[in-house]
Amino acid sequence: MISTSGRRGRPRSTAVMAFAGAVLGAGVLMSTTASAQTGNYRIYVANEYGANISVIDTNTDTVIAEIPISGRPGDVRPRGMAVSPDGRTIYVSVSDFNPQFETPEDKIVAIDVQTNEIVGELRAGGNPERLAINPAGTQIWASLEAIAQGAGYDINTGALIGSFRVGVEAEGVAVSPDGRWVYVTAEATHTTTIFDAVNLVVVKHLLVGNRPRVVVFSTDGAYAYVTAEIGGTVTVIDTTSQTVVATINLGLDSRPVEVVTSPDGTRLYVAGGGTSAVYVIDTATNAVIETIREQMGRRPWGITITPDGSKVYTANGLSDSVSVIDTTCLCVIDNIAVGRGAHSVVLGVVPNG
Amino acid sequence: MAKAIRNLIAAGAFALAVPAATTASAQYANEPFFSWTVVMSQGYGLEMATIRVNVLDAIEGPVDPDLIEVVEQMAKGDWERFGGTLAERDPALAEELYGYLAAFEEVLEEGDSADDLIEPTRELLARAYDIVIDPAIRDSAAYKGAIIAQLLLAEGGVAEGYEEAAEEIFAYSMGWGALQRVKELWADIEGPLNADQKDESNQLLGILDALYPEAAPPEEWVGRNPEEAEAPSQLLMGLVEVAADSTLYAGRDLARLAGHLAETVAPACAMIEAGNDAVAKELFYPAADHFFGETTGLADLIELFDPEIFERAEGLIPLFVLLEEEEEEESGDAPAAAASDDEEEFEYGAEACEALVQTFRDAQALLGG
Repeated sequence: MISTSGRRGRPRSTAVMAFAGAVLGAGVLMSTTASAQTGNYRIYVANEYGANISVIDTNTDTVIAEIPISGRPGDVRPRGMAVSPDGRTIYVSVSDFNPQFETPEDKIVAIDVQTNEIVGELRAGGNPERLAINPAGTQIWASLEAIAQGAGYDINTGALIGSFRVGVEAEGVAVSPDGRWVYVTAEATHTTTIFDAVNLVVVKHLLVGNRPRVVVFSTDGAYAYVTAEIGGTVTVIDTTSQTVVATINLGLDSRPVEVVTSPDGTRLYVAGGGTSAVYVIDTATNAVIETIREQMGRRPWGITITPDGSKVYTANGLSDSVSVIDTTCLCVIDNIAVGRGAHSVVLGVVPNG
Repeated sequence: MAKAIRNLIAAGAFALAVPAATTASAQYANEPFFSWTVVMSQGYGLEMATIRVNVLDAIEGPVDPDLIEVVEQMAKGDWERFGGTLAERDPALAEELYGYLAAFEEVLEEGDSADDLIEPTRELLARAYDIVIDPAIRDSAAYKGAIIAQLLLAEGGVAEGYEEAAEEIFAYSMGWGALQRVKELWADIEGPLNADQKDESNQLLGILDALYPEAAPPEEWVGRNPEEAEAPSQLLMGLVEVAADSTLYAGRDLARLAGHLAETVAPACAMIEAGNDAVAKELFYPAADHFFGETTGLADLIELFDPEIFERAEGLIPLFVLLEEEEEEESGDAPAAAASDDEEEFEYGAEACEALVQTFRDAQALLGG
């Protein structure tokens, strides 16, 4: 039977954000760009079904800690993450498994990389799925899946900066390198919404590839890249004209999810969840130059890269593992067992590590 | 550009842009939802009716009133997807089959057993299948793949059944029934896959089997993840597309889809004028499926970009197909009228049909098609 009411995540008529008043700002605003180049790194993996975070030391590529997010795995899930500009604080979006409803579980938690302890939390009603931090480290933006909104919060006070309507089933979120624009993707409407973070207005909705997942900016901010899971594409948006200028075809069975840019901006690494592959794209030509399949874990969703660009890490949801890719040989050099339902992966910096 | 969008642009809040290209290059040989649009809907109706019979047969004990509501859909929306064509081609079979389908509700609501209806209905549905669906199409991997796609992802299917069970518990049972049929069809078409792909599909089907161990819904539903069947269903879909050599997401090019819905529905207007309403209805069902369906997202997208077009479609489509919301309000009859943006009211008929065709064309233009 056909239903018009079954469409998910349709926006509600009233805003439902509320704050617990907790302060998230631990570890940010330290202006330690240099440390991000030289410190010891930790890989943080959000385990959706295990309701915890696995921590990997990149020196040894071994799991050194597990941080519980909830005592109710299967009910509460951590998903998207973001990192403070100094790398010392990891932010995790937490929600329950029912995106139809706002619940007390909907929040953002902050983890101190030094101690691996939760140091703050912020109420973010509406099933927050993914997060992004502005370059100044003062704002955190969330895609709110259940209520078709993007929302920004002051990282130190938890105050709502602004919220705006996006497409249905909000998913990916990114802040431009200059902090001016916030891009939010929406799975069900195949759109990316561009929000002016200074004037706090929606600029436009762009139709992108089918079932868009994650959006990232190029290192120079000239382009935004949006993966499309069903479309099997990466949409390239010119951020000056705010128009789609290219579509990179990865194949209909590729099912791309997360994407990361190399630190030098020359490559994109795309996690292809459908084919258990990582696609390597040359950003100068927008051509796929390598598809990494051998030894890859199953259903890679999350992906991140070390600051020197030497290693890529993928979170593999069906094999509960992290694959480690050497970017010189473009080959998998290790697979690390993590928690259940590895979803997203980010890199933190241990101060004085 | 439509009025609503113009107003939003004037207000500085919105602008619409479309991509230079929205789809990957053609990768598969077949497009069953475009080539056989109405046939796929007819097949879905026949499949769903059969699954309802199978679910009723598989659940032991007294029949829950909520299960009766699930079963009775076979004489409503399921029937309307193929009943007109069947009646044209074999009126006697159509009359007999409809009699059986309608009898389930009557018998079950009286508190009687429907056991005696099950086998004859299965046989009649099988005969109807042979008459409504061209065997050359029915036996193709593309057709079977498209049926699998619907059974996995459409309303009442494997993924949605699990998700909806928290509110309608026998949606779980329909999901179970859909999964059993998916496995039968999958066995028919998985041949071209390599060993790794077959291994992957077996694992995914195993995950789904674990979620659906039996037809009867679990006594306790609280605490389950309603989305748990979606990820394996979506992943399996990727392999189904490969095995069927078919594009099975009709919404990959939404402008093209909107235009195709206009072309699909257009012949129905003349049919209604000529009094051939039963066959005309069959053309509206796939249009409604693809417009409102979560796998396409077309309705959500149109609502975001131009609410006025969305509201027109949302008002007009229920004049021609049975929707869940209307059935909750009354006995299943279509609503008498729908208002367009300029307050013109439409009633069921050729004029409303033409308005719907134009609405789909407006959606196509909006999306750059």
